[in-house]
Amino acid sequence: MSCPHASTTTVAWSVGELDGDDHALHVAHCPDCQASLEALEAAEAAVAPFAGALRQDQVPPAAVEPVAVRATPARQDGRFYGLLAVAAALLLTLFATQLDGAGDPTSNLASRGPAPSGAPTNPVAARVAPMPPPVPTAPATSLDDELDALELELDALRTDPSIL
Amino acid sequence: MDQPHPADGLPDRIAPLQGELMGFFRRRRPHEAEELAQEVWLRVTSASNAPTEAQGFRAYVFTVARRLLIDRHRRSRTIGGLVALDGGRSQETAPSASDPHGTAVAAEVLAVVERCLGAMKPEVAQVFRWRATTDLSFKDIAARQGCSLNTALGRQHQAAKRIARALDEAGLSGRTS
Repeated sequence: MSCPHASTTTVAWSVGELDGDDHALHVAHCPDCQASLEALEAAEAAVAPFAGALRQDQVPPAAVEPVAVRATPARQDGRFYGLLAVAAALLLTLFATQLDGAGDPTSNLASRGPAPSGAPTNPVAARVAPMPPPVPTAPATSLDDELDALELELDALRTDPSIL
Repeated sequence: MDQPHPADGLPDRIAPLQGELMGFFRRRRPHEAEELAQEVWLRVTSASNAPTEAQGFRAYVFTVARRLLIDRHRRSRTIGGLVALDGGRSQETAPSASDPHGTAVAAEVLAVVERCLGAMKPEVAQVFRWRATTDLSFKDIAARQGCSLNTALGRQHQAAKRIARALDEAGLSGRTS
């Protein structure tokens, strides 16, 4: 086979991936391209009735495309509710601390002066007992721990931005 | 000396080929022979560079006809039902029991094609399989195989040539012209 088009251009042209009457003219006059076209036609005709049976493997993607990956850890149900409980406790601690810098929620109320008679007292302040000082937690040992801590802080911030 | 225009005397050049062209299509796609022949004449008459001399014109007409057939085979593959001849590997419909001879021939053709593909280099067989079973362009196939477009085209050419030869040797090609 000496025509360079027989195994390239003619193949593309035969399946409509290359337009042009000029190539049709070339194929009509080129024995190599004619032979190529005949082989392609015979093979296509042979497999056309049962192309499904030739399906063998999965077609891979053209190239590896960057996929946006969320950097938060996957939430597992049990773990999520545990984190939620810790977040709630932390929020309560922060709230109580805001009410009373020294840790006594009632002293903050006292510094503002007595409540007007007949006015309802702060129900939260009235119910919240003095909180023990926060237990120092172990430093984050892994990326997951750090992410968990960050997530908790974010949740707390979303709930009450004034804690800053 | 004036060159004759491609459209000059076209009916006179078409007439002697009409029967041969119809026979060509009847052997390959009998139910669509007439429609396909019409399509060929439409393409030939609208081409600006169809040869004017008889021998060149005939070659040109059958070149257009073969290209049209390839296109039709591909379309029918997409539209039509597929026949399961692989022992249930695919989910397609079973062959019709009303044509046992056709079913046997089809099974034989498939066996030849599979044997041929199995003997090829995997990357060559893969191009042929992808072309036969998906709508991937050669450009897409080249990208997926990590090769040049010409390499992908060359692999298809190689696969088709070997399959055509194997079918010919098995007396299953059906090519009579």
